[in-house]
Amino acid sequence: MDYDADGVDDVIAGSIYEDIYLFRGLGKGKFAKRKLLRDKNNNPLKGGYCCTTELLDMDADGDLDLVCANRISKAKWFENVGTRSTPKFDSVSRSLPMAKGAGSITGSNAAYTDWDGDGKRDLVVGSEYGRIVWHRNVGQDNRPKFSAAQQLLKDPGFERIKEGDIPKMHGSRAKVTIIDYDNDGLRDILLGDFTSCTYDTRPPLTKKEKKKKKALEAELDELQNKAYYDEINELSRQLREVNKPIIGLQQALNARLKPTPNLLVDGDFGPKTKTALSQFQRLNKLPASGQFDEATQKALGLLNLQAGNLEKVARIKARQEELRRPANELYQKLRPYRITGYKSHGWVWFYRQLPQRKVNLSKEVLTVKPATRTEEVTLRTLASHTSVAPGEEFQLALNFQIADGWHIYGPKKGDSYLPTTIEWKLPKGTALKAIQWPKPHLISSGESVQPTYEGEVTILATFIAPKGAAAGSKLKLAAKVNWQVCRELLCKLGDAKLETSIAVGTSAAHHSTSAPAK
Amino acid sequence: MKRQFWFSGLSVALVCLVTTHSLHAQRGSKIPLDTYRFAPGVRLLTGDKPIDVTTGHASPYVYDFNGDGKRDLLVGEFGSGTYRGETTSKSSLANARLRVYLNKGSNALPRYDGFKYLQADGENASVPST
Repeated sequence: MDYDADGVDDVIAGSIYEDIYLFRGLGKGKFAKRKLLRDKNNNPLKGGYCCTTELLDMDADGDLDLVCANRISKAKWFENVGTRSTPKFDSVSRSLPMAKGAGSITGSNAAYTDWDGDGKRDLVVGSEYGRIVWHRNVGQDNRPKFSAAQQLLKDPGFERIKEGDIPKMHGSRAKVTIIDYDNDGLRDILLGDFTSCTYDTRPPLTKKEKKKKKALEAELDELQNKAYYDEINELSRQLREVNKPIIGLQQALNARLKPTPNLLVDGDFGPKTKTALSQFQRLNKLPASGQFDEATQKALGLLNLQAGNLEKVARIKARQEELRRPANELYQKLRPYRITGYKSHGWVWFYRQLPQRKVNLSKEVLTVKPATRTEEVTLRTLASHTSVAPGEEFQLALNFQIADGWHIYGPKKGDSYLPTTIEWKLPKGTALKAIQWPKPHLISSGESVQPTYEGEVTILATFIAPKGAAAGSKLKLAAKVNWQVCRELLCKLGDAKLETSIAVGTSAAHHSTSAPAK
Repeated sequence: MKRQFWFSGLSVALVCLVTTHSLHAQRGSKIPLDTYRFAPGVRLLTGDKPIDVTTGHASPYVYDFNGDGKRDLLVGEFGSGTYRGETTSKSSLANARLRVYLNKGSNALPRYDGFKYLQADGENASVPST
């Protein structure tokens, strides 16, 4: 991605503990040293645990915003409050904009791509357990709004495989990218995985060895009892407590040192805090001991802190170590009895997209929610496409379910009945190519013959999208449907107004039945 | 380097080992199946062996890295060694790197034979993992 609009692509990478890095492209495959990305207040940007990043205009202001997906919480974005060539990111993240009722987006990574070919980038998301889903963008390309997840690849499950066996599917923590990998005109899925295979570390345990292993495990259980964990937890609590003044120290060092050392304000007196403290002492002509002594406290304006706390920290840490040592020794003793080893792999999988089965609209239409329902007639309707390419054909199905004993009439006018009619209102340039009415059942009523439909009937209309339709635009189709439904001597009139919109895409459209007409 | 296609980010996805607190958000939740169909997955090869990154956790991306008109494969990998660059973390960290597999085949039938790590400032470009 070209981070700074200098015409050279850059690499931007998330990392395990939320930090995000930029490697500026220098051209000819060369990149500058990594730079930690910071927000407008110069604090490091936090993308989430094991985050992955994308740059995308989220708010139609012409610059690129920073979008982060991560393994344990919702995907989010930081607004670019700078410019396209000098990005500057807001310090507060926002959640991704979702359509009403669409939930939220979580995943191990999120790839932006126009999955359905409607000219707007959608979101394809890899997940912790390997499932791949996509969220359709129902907003604009540069002001997205995402719909609920639809599954593309199922969760592979956790079938253990032996080292050397050929796996059937990818493993967990899928990182996905979308590309027409084999140049056949259909978008494919490439994904990276994490798969752990088992292998035998040693010959099976003898009876004697099994007994010894069991004894060691029992010893470990006895050691790690409730009192053990209670003390471990209590020590952690005490540690947090005595570390509180260190938080003040870290904040003071961040504020007083120029440039700021950007210490993580975590209350831990670690090597970085110590180095920054020594630096402060040198600058203030104090003995650069790295010790949090009284003179340093005074210079930092932190008189309420107790240097004695550092000794307490050391004491707590020593006790923690002492507590854990016997268990660690037992773990060491158990090692030779381990019979199964695990080897990690990260493979790159290619899932080739196959052409869609021709949609059986007449069948599919029966599964959608009714557009209108009366006591006698239920009307359903469904489009063959959610998006079409300019000049491409698409179909609309109208299905009538007619109550037992009742019938409606065919489309032709007659003297003794009112026909079923569909009055289309089509966008400019969209043509109705054909309309197929099933053959009606003829009944005689006195002198005349009437064409009728009983039970169920599906009418298929075929349209051609305008050749000059602009990608990203919408074709809004409307129809007014009128019918007369009769039984013996009783007749009722019915009507419905239908509306649907189909997006115009840039390329060969993907058929989908996922968007029923209203 | 010219942009070859309009994916919005050249990103390296990074990863980590600890599984105990993995999320359960998507597992078992009802997500409707879409109608797209795929051939069974196959692993991409380098030479005649599956591409396999250090300690698992691969993250692929497709991009014409050397500007020869053929799309190459970039794969983010977990980590090894000790990370010594800038970080806000106090934990001990490993180097996660990015592999560049140049395409020795064509765009319709890519073929790879080995990789080089992405270089930045004269060394392997790396970001923290564990």
